[in-house]
Amino acid sequence: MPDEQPEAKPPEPPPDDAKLAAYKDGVRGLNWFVTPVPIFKEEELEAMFEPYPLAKPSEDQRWAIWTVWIWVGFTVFSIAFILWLIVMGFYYGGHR
Amino acid sequence: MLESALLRANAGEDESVDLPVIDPPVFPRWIWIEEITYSHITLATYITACMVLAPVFEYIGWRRRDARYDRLAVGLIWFSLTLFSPGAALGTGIPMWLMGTYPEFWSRWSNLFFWPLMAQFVFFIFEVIFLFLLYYLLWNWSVNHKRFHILLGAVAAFWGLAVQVVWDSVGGYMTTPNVRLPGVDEPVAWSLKACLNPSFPFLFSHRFVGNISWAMLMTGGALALRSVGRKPAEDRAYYNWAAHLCFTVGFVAFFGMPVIGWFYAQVMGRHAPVAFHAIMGGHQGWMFIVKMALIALFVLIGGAYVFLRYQSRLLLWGMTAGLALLWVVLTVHPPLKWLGDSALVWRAAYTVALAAFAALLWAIRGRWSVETRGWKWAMFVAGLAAFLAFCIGGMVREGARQPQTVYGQLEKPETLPRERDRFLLYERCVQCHHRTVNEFNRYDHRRSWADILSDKDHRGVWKAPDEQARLLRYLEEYYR
Amino acid sequence: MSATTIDVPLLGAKWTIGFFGLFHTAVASLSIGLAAIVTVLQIVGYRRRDRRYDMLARRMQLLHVCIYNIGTIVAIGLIFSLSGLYPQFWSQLFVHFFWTLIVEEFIFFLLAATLTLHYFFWQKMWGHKKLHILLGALLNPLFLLQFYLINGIGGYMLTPGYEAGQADVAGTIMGWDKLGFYNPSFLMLTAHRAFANIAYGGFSVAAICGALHLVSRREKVRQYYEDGGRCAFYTGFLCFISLPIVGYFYAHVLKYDANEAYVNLMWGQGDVVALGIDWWWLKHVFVAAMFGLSLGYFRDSAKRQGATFALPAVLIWSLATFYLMYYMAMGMIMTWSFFFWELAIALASAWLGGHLVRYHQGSARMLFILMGILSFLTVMLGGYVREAARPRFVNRFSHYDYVYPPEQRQPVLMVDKRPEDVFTPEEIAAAKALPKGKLILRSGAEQKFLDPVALIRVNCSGCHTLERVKNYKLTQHWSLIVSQMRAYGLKLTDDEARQIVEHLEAAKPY
Repeated sequence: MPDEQPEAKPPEPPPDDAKLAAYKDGVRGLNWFVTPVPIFKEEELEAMFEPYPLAKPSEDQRWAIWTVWIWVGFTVFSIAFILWLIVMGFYYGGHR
Repeated sequence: MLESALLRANAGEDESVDLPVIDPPVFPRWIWIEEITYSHITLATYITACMVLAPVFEYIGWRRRDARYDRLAVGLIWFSLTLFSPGAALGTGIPMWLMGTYPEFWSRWSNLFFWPLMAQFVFFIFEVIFLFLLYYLLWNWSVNHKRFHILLGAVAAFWGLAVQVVWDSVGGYMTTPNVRLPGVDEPVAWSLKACLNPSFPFLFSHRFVGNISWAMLMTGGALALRSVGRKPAEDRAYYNWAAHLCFTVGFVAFFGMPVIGWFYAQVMGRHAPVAFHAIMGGHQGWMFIVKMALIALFVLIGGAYVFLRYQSRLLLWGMTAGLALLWVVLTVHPPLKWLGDSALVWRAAYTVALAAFAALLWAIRGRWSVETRGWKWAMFVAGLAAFLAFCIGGMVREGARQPQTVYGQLEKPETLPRERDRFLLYERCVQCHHRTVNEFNRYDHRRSWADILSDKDHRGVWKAPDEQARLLRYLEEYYR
Repeated sequence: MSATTIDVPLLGAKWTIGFFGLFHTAVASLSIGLAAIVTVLQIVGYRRRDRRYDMLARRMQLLHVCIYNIGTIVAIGLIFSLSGLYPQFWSQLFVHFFWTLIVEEFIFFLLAATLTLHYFFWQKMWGHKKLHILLGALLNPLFLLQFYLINGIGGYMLTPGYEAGQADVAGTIMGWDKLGFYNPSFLMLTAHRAFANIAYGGFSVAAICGALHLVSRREKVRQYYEDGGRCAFYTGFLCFISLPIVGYFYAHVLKYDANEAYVNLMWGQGDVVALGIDWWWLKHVFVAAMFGLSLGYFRDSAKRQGATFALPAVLIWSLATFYLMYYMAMGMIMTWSFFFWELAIALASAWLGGHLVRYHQGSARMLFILMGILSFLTVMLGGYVREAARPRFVNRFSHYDYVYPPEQRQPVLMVDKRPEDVFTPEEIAAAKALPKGKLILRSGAEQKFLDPVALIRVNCSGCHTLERVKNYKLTQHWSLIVSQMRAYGLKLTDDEARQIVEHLEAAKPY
């Protein structure tokens, strides 16, 4: 007989999982230690346009600033060293 | 016969190796190679370990709905990305230095492995694409597509491991070459047999497990110290939790190492016996013992840590089984003569020590807290010991193979006669009727070396006329 | 003749290297450009206290971090493939320039670490913003130094130059060939590429901004991309405008120190022409299009702002005029066909540029995208034609044969073979013979031409094109014509004049 089988019921919506929602919120709001991955929605992007967020020097983490200063010093020294090598290389090397 | 061919080559009779070798200033070339290689390997192994573990942690966090795992995963990846560029830059320096300072080695070895080197380039590109552009950049977007995101991380880890497979294969060949190293004008380009050389699977698995172990121990130690700083309480709690997780993972992973290492040593003993004996009692023996001491240190700290912190019977009995495994390894190993000549004394000593240690661990179970400042420092020290043990491993292997760049096939240009004589000694004498190089120290000196070498037992051992004289010179100099 | 090299199926060795080289150029050149653009954007943002420029700089630096690693890996792939596919060449080059490469490698490491710190510490340094900008700015001198070193080697491949720098590894310091490094074209190559990379970076950032503008819906976000894109475009344009001038002097150097390569470029010979297309000509068509588009953009911009004239447009007109004057007056070679094509494309592009801006309601987004694509193509084509112009490696054993004739390669030969073992006697004789048809010149005043074909080509094209010579009807009077040319200022010795006349009177091809 045609159509004896009952109509298929639509699937029930999944139950609310409060723990899942909390997990997603926690993951979405990741902003500790890690530089947030900069893929934003347009509204979020627009909200970041102002102000220019200059801060007080004391608000920066000291270890980060120390790391940068040491690295800048090392790099500048290396550049000077390489320039010296280039100058030396201009005078030495090749016997003609 | 191979050894004498090398002699002739270095004496200039074979003119196929007349490429000028560039001598760097300040340090000998092997130190430059070592420095740049070690700088790279530290970063590369750490990154690989993080890439393997991050999707695992992310998955666990997803299943348990615990955002801390996700934070740890993204933190590991973030830190790996900061190391990636300098690590890759250092990695390009290694072949540059090799090409200039070991030109014959480079040209012959890369002749053999041209296509694997091209393959690793492709794998590396995929690794960068999956790690940077997909796994890292899509992290926030993937909140509602977690499974897909974890898959991306797993694929990135796969490509990273594929790169490691290639390098371990071509690196393993240097210690256990199973095909002839081609000449500079023989473009072999690809050899499956050479890639699947005897020590490759053991080198790869030893490094795979070892990377996870040292990286997590070191990370655990560093995070432990970070958790005692002045921070919001939430951050302190997170770092504390992350430190315990990483440290435990690293410590548990360690127990695969002695097993793999045992079989690795077996393969070396069979296919690179001189290198094997150099480590086991020879000129690299002291370095190997230092490595074992560092391992003992972090096993002591880690063992106590596990028993103080965890109540799980599975973990504690597993740890005990690990100690039992150490006992098995020591028992199968020939007895060491550290406590005199008696094998029984030695066996009894380590059995008692291990049993006492196990008993002590069970006795202190859960008795004290590991949340003290002292324990944070202890975890850091354990991590540091693991890191140093990892570094020394590579030095042991490379030093054991000296003076040969490719075992039995190619010598380094600056080989000293002493090193060549030492190689000859290990090759001719140790395997025949001695178990270890140290036996020469304990030899009966009522007879002179000259007497011993020229007696009837040693007739037929010499394959070139000068070998007896060289051995005699070496023995008299170093084993008197 | 010798099977001592590895073969790559399908691609072949040349295109394997070509693939790696082009891939690396696409990425590494962009890296250099991005470093400059990011610094400019950060400074503009700081001066104006406008965070949008800083945000754009940060996103571009993220792109930089991602592609930097790809560039690194491709570079090492290039080195591996060179050492495997061109072993003799590579080993010789390496012996000459080992220390150059090691220092360059060290700078590479400095760059990687600086770039990493700059990007990943972005949010941690708002209290020390000037320090952060300095950190990013440090990338620029580092890139310039690295570039300076690698272009010494690159220039050497094309203009090995002073004879003393050739094939001689018995210098004072093993691994450093001073005269090889300071070859005739290294400075021009460095300058040309440095400006080109910044232009490429600027136009690429502008193109990315244009694309993002296209997909954005919110007005403020669109304005953000428009402003950022314009800043990058202007920076790129400033460098772009200098390229024809630097390029002219680069070509000038090639004329005297790599004449065969110069001839291949200018007349469309050798591998410069492939698949029926003259790729050098095509590159210049793209360059003309870029100038035209820029002209259209600036004129339209000026009109919208109500300005009476646009300074950049004036710059373009002046440049075009001066360039033409120099080009004709200094004896560069250009066919009329080439000239008119360029002009037509430039004018059409100028119209197109203005139209694109008007069509998109004053937004330059499509123009930026088009400029980005064209700049990418010109960078790729520039690298390709330079390499293609150089005479082919002979059996992968040398570059620019004159530098490493077989008998001089022995000091660094790793292969246990002498030239007699490898080459046939005829080949050795040909290598030792004076190069015919190869317009190898010594630098400076002694310009000795060995071939009437060469004499005609170089001398007769100084003031007009060769077509004028070929179309000349009064062919019985060549000696009179040549005398007239000498009266007009053409410098020829009597012997050279005689050779030219004889060749032309015999109606031989040139």
